[in-house]
Amino acid sequence: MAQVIISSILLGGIYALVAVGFNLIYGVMDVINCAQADMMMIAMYVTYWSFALYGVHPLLAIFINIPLFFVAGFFAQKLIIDRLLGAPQFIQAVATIGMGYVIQNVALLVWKEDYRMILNPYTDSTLRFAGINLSVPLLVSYIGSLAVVAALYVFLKKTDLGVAIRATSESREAAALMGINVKRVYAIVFGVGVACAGIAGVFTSTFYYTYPMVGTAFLLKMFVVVVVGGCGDVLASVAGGLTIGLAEGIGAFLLGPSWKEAIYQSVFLLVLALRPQGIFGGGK
Amino acid sequence: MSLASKKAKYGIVAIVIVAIIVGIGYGYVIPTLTPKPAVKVGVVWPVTGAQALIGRDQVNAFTLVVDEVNNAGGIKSLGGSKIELLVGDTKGDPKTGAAEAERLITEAKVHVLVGSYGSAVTATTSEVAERYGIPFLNPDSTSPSLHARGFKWFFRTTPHDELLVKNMVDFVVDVGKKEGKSFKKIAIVYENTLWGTDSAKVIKDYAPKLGFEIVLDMAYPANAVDLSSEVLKLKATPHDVLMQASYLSDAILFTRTFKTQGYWPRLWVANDAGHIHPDYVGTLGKDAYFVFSREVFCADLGGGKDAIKKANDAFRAKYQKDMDGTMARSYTAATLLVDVLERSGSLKPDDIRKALIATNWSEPKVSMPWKGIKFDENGQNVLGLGIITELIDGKWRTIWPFEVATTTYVLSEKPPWA
Amino acid sequence: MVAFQMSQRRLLLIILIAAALLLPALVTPFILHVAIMVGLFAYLGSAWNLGCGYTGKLSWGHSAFMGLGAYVSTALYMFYAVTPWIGAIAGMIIAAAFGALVGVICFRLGLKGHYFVIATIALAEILRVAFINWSVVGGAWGLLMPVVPDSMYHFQFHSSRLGYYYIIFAMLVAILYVERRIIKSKLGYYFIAIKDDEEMAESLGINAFKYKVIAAAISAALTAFGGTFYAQYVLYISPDTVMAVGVSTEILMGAVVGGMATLGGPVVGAAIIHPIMELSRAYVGGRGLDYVVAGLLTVGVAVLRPHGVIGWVEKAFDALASYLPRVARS
Repeated sequence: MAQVIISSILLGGIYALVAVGFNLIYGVMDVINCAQADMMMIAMYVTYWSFALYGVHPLLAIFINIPLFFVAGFFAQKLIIDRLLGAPQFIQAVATIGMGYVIQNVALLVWKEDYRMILNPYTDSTLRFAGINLSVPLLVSYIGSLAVVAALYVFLKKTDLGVAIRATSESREAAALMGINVKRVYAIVFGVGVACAGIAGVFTSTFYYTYPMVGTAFLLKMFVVVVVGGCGDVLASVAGGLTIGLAEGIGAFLLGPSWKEAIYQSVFLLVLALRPQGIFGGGK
Repeated sequence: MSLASKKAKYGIVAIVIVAIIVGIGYGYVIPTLTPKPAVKVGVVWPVTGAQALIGRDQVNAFTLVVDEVNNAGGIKSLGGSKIELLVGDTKGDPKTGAAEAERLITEAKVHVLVGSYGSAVTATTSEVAERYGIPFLNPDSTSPSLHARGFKWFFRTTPHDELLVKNMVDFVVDVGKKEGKSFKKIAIVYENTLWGTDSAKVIKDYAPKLGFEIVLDMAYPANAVDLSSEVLKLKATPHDVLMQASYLSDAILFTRTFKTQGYWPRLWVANDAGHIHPDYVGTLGKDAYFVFSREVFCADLGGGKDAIKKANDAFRAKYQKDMDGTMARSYTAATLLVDVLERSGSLKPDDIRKALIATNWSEPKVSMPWKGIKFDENGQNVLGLGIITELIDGKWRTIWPFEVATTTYVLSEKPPWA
Repeated sequence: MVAFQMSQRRLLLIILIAAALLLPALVTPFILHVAIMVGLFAYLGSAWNLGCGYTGKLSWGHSAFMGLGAYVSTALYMFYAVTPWIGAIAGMIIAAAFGALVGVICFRLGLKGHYFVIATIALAEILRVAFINWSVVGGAWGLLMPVVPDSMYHFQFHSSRLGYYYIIFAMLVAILYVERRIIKSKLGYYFIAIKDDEEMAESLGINAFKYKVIAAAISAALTAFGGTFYAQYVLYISPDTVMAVGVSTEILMGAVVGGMATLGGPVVGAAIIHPIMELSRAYVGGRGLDYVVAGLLTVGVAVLRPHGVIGWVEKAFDALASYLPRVARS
């Protein structure tokens, strides 16, 4: 049973990682980026190909992905997302779904449907102690996601840019009045959010397989994690991720895996009923 | 209206009319006049989507035969007409499959339809063929109910799950006898969509009759992100045999989780699909060894049967890998179709159907370990057989029935990664 | 002296309707299938629009209602030989109840905006998982309906599919009519008032909660009937084909692209998206290009015309109509 709990916690950390970028974008810009998980999929491919073609150790791919995805996100915001900001939020969501479709199917066209998995001694390694088996890649990913969340938190709270971002998220008019270049802030935030997806992709590719539709597997869960933890709150992603991970893992063990989806959806509804702003949500 | 703008208006109308005429000419008249190849075969398979790897391979295997026949002069009894292969993409979805089937029949005017892998998709695509009175050849769907619909135009070459899944249980019985051990407790793990559930159902119905006890009946959501809980549940439930029905991605993830969690089943029999796909051993390498699977085909049987060797060699030459059961059945269906067309001598649906009904292939002719091909009144091939294979040293070997086995099975107490 | 004058727009509408009625005679069965699909999703989009577009409460879980309708009528037909027409009514009642339940849960909890959207997804998913685990209705396998010769009682018309075309056409006309009547009635004004400013509406004495639930129930019931039609057309239903999130997306995409809270929006949207997807799949061959096109369309519409393309379509309609003569008779 201890094993179940630990494995579930690790899983929760992964969910948090995927959600953190989404939360950032939503928290600051009020944009629901349904393509977040698909961007992670691209990141997984980038990691895979650097490994397969150039022998780059997957973890080192972080150094490739962060700049790559930040730049991609930055320009994506300027070119597309910015134009969407005038539309009602629902339309924005539908549009990002459209973006997701495009990303998924272009990936399908280019890389075909084959499942790719990074197999090297690192991804295979397991830590065993006291009767517990821990997959090392999963553990590292968990620590990694906590690190990312912590880094983001510090960035937002302590740096000048972080303060500017937070000001903009409170009120873009007030921020503009204070001389903050709101458009630039938005572009940066989106870039960071997408970079988070890039990091998530690196970690996920060390323990899961890569294929064009992998985003869909994570997307729904990501929404639930976001809401359960608290929309728009970076730290809350961890809380949400852990809750869902535990609910899923323990629930599946006790009730049977077929009910996994219903379990975490029910947890989600429970949270909505009892504490709609999420466990850590400060209200938005 | 001024004269100038009136002229403009008539001008535009004239241009539009000309455009329409040109369009019609291009779209209808010219294609009707150009000569076309005579025999049109439509195949409906999941060429994109979750099962695309399988669908593509099936099309490849089928194309191999078609190309060979066309290069050798086409269908002789039809005056050397070549076969034109048209591909419909089902995306693994019944509704899409039906739409594609309809398009191939009504627009491309195919003479025969072949498909469609997933049993639910075959259900709807074959129904379309039945409506239009077009012969439908099903090489690969194993749901038992498909031939029991009273259809006139449905013909299935593959044996179905009632036989094949029973093989899994029969094999365990035989191994038990040989080893002098008892393997009474079965744990069933299966993906919770139609195929997995169907497979599990057959096991649940049949195994208890032979004295087995089902100690774990675990359906899991396909394409799961993490399978630790599932494996932990397996570890927590004492059992002798693991029977698993998973598609490729789940199969890979499961085995990796086995490794992480230190789980190894005493006897592990998979139900085809994920575990037999070349990418399973391709991705996992050594870790994939020692799994058994119920199968319909194994490349090593080429040693004993020329038809199998010829088929697999041709496939290997072009695609650098051995055929698995699904590809082999696709290949065999193509060879059968060529024979049917030759015997029919005509492209009328009724004549093709008569030729199908008259099929009576003997064992040496079939590029499968079957006794032959002969359809009963429901269109089901009654001479099909299943085998059990094992992944030994990176290659699949036939190990059951013991009479056709090419080598002895290996029961490994330790996992391949130990 | 009786003067009769028909406006050009009305004449154009009549011409288009006549063309639509004659369509089956002019096209191949495959194009007819595409037309039926367009009709079905125009219908479903309108049903969604009625409940969501006008009230501003945007549900992403409508596949649950479609699935309920499909399952209820199919189960009643296969197990008790009840004609799907009556089964459809049963389905509508059950879906309406479920819709009201969803409404009560979500609105009682005061869920707004994206919380509401995600909650509808969650509820639909719970229903889907429940059906997957419910072996009486086939669990993951779903239900496969036997083919019978053309018959109104059995609601199957497979020899030529003409029956389906005219039925969905009638359904579409009917739902548009119902929509129009509701919007012009008091109920419609309440919906729009709620959408514009719920608090203001409440302060004017409108019981927003009651009307939101009513909207949900009506929308659910109408969607369920579409589910029955789908079941009778495809003859195979399963939790993943009629209750999945992807189906909800397909339902609302037409309405969003065409224009929410307009009568013609869902029709126009469905008429644009579905033919493009079906044809690009069939003729540009596999490889997922159809989804790329659909995705680009939605992004394009959101950027250029967030309130839907209905505005453009209306302008084009008027321009076309202006070429027609005025019909006058005295």
